[in-house]
Amino acid sequence: MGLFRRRDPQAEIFAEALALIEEGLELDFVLPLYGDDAAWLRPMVETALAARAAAREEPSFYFEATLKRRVLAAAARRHREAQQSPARAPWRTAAAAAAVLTVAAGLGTVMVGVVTADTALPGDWNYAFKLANERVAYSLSRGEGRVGVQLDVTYARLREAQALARQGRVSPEDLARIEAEAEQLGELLESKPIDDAQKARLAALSEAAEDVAKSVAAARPELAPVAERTVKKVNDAVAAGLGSSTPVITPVATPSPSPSPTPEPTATPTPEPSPAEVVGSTATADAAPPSEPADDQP
Amino acid sequence: MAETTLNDLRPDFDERALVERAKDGDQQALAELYERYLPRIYRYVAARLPAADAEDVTSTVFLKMVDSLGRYEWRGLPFGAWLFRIARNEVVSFVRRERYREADPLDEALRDPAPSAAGAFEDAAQLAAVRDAIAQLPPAQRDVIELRFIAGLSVAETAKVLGKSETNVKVLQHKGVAKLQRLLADWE
Repeated sequence: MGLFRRRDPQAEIFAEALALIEEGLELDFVLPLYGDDAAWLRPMVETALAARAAAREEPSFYFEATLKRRVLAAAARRHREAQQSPARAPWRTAAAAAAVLTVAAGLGTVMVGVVTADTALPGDWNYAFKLANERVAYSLSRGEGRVGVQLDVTYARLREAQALARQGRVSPEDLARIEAEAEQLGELLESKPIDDAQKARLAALSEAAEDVAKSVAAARPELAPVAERTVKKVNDAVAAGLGSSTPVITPVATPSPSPSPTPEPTATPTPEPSPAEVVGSTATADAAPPSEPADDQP
Repeated sequence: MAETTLNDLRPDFDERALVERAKDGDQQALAELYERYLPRIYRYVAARLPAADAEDVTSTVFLKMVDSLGRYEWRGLPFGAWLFRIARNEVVSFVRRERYREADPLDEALRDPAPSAAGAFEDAAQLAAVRDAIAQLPPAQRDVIELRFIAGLSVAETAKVLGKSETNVKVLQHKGVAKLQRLLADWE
């Protein structure tokens, strides 16, 4: 009989002899097959058989029956659950996919809104992002920087009104937004110092407001009085920043008074200085953008 | 319950089909698997634990079998070896968890002073002596001896349960039985 005799020949012989006995052969038939090895093999096999004989514990009938009932009941319950879960799975998958897509779409919308907000006009879907960006910038700014941010915001409202006027859809609300930002600018300028560059931009704000008022009056003549009031508010803010409480630009509806040796009496006790005089009083007035509202027009 | 034989652990009765039917919810197939394996699993567990604990652990083994049966795949691991692997893990976990003291030392009063042949092991005291000797084996040898002779697994199945090679199992089996022989000779 071919025997395995590789690493531990005795272990292989013993395993083979046991396998033959476990297959049903008698011990006295198996042992002679191994010749001289039978001498040490016999007590080993007998010990193994004794070990097997020691395994006599049997489960009680009650335990066997009880556990069988529990096992079958547990299997039936799991089978029911398994049958139900495939029906729910597509719904859950669809719900999860929808949730993921919703979140992704929301994030995408926010990203696109933030990126494209700079050119947004009132009524556009991303205009709220533009306002939010401005609020964030304003909140993060301090001192002169905050004045700069507020100047940017006021210019932005003017540009929006200019663009809407050209499209023929400017409204009183658009002008009211300019006034609100101008008022806030004026309040800031009363307490914050500004540098020369900001003074130049401030002076140019009056001209920009006048341009907007002209565009508004041309597009919607009925809004001309409102536009005049808006220009006045802007001029008040500019005057607050430049150290004068008088308007720096004559409202569009009122032509600049020509100098005369004997001025006619007006409602204003003191004659208003001409825009050129005020603008010329700032050293960097020429450096300011003369027509900022037109810069960002589509 | 009908006594099972060693061949019952081998898939020559198309155990694979039986397992597949049980996975599909066939209660009859599951009952057949249960009846085939319960005595052997219980015997294996009871070799290390007293009867009350053995019943608890055996119950856990079969309930875990039910829980895991849906994920069981035949690939490389016959059902019997898979089930005994669960049983072995549960016994080890139980012993660790409960700090269970291994089998009580054999009561001196039960020892028979004159056993000399294999046939004499029929005596209860002698059987207890064998179990006591098995409990004294090193863990690796004890694992093999219990799976081979208490649970009745083949060398190949024992190797799969323990994650060892068949050659390694044969060596451990040989060493384990040799040591049992010496322990029992001392007892004699």
